[in-house]
Amino acid sequence: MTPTQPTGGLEESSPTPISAPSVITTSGGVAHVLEVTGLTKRFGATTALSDVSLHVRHGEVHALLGHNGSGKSTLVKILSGYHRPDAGSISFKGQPVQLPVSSAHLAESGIAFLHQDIGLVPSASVLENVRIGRFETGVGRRIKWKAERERLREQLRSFDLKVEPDDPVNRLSASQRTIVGLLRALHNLEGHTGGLLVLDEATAALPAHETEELLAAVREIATRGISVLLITHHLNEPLILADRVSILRDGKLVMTGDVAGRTERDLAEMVIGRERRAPISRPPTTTKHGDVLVAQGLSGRILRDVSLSVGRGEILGLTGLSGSGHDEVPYALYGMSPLTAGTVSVEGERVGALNPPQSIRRGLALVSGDRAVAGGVPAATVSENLSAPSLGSLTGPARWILRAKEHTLVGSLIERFNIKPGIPGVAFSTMSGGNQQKALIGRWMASPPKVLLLDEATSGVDIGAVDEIVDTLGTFASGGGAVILASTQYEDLARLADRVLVFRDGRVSHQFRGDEITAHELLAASYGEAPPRSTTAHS
Amino acid sequence: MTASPSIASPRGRTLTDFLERYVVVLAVAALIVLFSVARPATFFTVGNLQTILTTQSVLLIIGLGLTVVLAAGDLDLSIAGVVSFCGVLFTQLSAPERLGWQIAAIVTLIAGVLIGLVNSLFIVRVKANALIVTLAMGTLLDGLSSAVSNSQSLALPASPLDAAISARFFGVGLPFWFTILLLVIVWYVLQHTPSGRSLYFTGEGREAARLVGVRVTRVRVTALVISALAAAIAGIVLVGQSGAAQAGLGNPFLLPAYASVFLGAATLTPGRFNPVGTVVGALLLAVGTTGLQLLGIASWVTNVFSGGILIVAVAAAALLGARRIRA
Repeated sequence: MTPTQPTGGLEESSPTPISAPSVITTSGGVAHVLEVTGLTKRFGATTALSDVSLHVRHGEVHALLGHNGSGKSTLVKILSGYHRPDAGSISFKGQPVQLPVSSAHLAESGIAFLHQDIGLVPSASVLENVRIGRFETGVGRRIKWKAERERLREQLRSFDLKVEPDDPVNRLSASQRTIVGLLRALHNLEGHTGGLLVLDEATAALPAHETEELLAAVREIATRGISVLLITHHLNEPLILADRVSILRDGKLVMTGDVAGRTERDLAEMVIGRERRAPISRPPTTTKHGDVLVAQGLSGRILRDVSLSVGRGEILGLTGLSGSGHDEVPYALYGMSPLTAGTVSVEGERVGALNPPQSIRRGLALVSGDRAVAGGVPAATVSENLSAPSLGSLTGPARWILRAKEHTLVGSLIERFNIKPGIPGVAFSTMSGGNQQKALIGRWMASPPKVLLLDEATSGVDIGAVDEIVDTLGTFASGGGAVILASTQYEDLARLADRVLVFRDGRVSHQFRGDEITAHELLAASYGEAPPRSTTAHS
Repeated sequence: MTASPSIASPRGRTLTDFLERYVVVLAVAALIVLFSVARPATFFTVGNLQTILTTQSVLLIIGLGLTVVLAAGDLDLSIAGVVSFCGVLFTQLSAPERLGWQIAAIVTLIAGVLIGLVNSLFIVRVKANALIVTLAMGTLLDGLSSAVSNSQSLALPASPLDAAISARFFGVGLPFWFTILLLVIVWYVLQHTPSGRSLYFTGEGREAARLVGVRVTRVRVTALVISALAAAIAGIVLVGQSGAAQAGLGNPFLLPAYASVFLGAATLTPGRFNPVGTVVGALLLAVGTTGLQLLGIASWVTNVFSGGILIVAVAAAALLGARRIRA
């Protein structure tokens, strides 16, 4: 809702203070299109954003960097009206914006978003996707297809996009789809001078070689006088593209400044910050008795001929950027993600068909990173979710589930892994993310597996739960269990892992051991910078 | 962290929880009281009870099979077609000069299993839309039942099976006691064995179920076969009870079956399809429609009642399901 609310009537729908450049506020002589001041957002006990101020100048490409959990996505969600901030203000083109931001206001005032999932209709054409809602119509509301098509073809050409307006979106490559999303956002800004385009992790899902096409398109947009707020976790993008960069860490703005003269390493330092936590104390795993799990020549969706092994008592970390393939490994080993080649052996015995029941029998356990889809069963009870892997051992005659036995088991798991509120009979979904995660890891410990596979075990859970999960994994390894942990939480890997493999384009690019494992080294290796102390991995 | 009192009691001892669990049971009781007061001479009689129980067997058998499919997260609209086709098939084959009743019964049950397998081939393997596949399969079978019966009403040849279906035990038809046995088996498997847990996990979170080792594909195929097999049994019982078969004889059961199962999902374990709930749901329908007929209200009321109840039931199931998940 605009503060200068028109009192109805289409004629006065835009009171047009917009076209005049004079409305753009200046502080210190510089024009700002977006001013975010003192934004604070708390979720329960955690503060996601703390007094964050961010100014985007008119016509600039402004990059916003931050690691997982830095508050980046909370900031975007406030800008797009999903969250209401607890404190702070936003003004756009000098006009204060009423909070929470209404989507109608965004459209009216000239802010457009491109999110990671783009949100195109796959079966519809490029033209339909770009122009939906703003088709030029003639007599009888008939769409002027010819004019529309011509105009869009022109634009597609100016963005170097070799697709036709009538091509269905599902035939385009990932980067082409993203650029179509960009075009649609651009069309939403039509008729606004000095609009703002917010790119929310739009490159996250793109393969590295396709990112460049998108970046070229963004540059093209910036030349048309539209300001861009580029939210990304790729450190190289601001360097290629942006005029200025802001960095968020732990909900606070740690810097805003010109990009010129900075290196990826400078940015990495600020994204990661100083390491806060010491590695957990755990008896060193020098007494390794051979490998528990050996995988050779794994190829799958992204993975290309990857070999790895993990020993008794060892915590093996896997990391990389999204799309690098590190997070495919746990699912592939467990038989939930298809392999095109490769063999897996557990304790020297080759696993034939890879599927979850077989994996469980061989002593594997998986904790999925996608808790919404493959975590617990939300509508089933806490008790049913906790006892699921152990049901076979809880039955009496005629496969009758012995309730007393189940109750005892569930009670002991709740106590041991501090699952709150530990009420067995309520729906699993009533618990917080952290407690769900503790339950999903803890339930496998009723009869400990040989190898525990985890994907992003510590993401999206509160700090307290992270510490408990780290403890659980450490204890499990000390007891002789093997852990394979795919994660982009570099600090947690640094605390936990004995060895870390860094993935790039489906292959292992670096290996780190013991003291070499620091968040900085992992970050640098993930982005492909050759770190000084790395030992290049086998394969 | 302390839980609020409304969710503190896992067994649902608060009044709202109690009402939520037993609202359908209470509705049945209320209807019985209502009709008994209105028609003491005809409604509240042993004879009427015996009639209601006997005539509900077919619906209950179909409903129990359907409960299994819905619990697995799939659906099956072909059941009415299966009842028609299998009823007609059994009648045609069981003449002594043809296959005889024993082999006819076996062939009919195998036909049911095969139909379930074909359904699951398209739904589970080909990943075609279950709604359309089973709707089409039902129509196809309906057509086949006309072909098999030459579009005529066929008399069921007398046989020991026919006699057994018509026999009474404590004044109630034998199929009802068979249904009770079926109920106990389904209840046991669904509520008390790991297979039942696997079924519910498959229906409520397929990937999460796969993660803990549930063979999701196998569970879904089995559920679709069970539902078709149950409908095949129901077809035999139906022609046994009426002594005759004609195309389309299963059609009147489709909607009441769904209504019973969804009413059941709002009962006992709210938000979950469960066999005892299905039986209570079927009872509500039976008491309601019988009572209305005894009141002398025009017969169209029956459909209005069944249809209306189904809408109420799915709405209740949706609301309860949402509460269970978000709570």
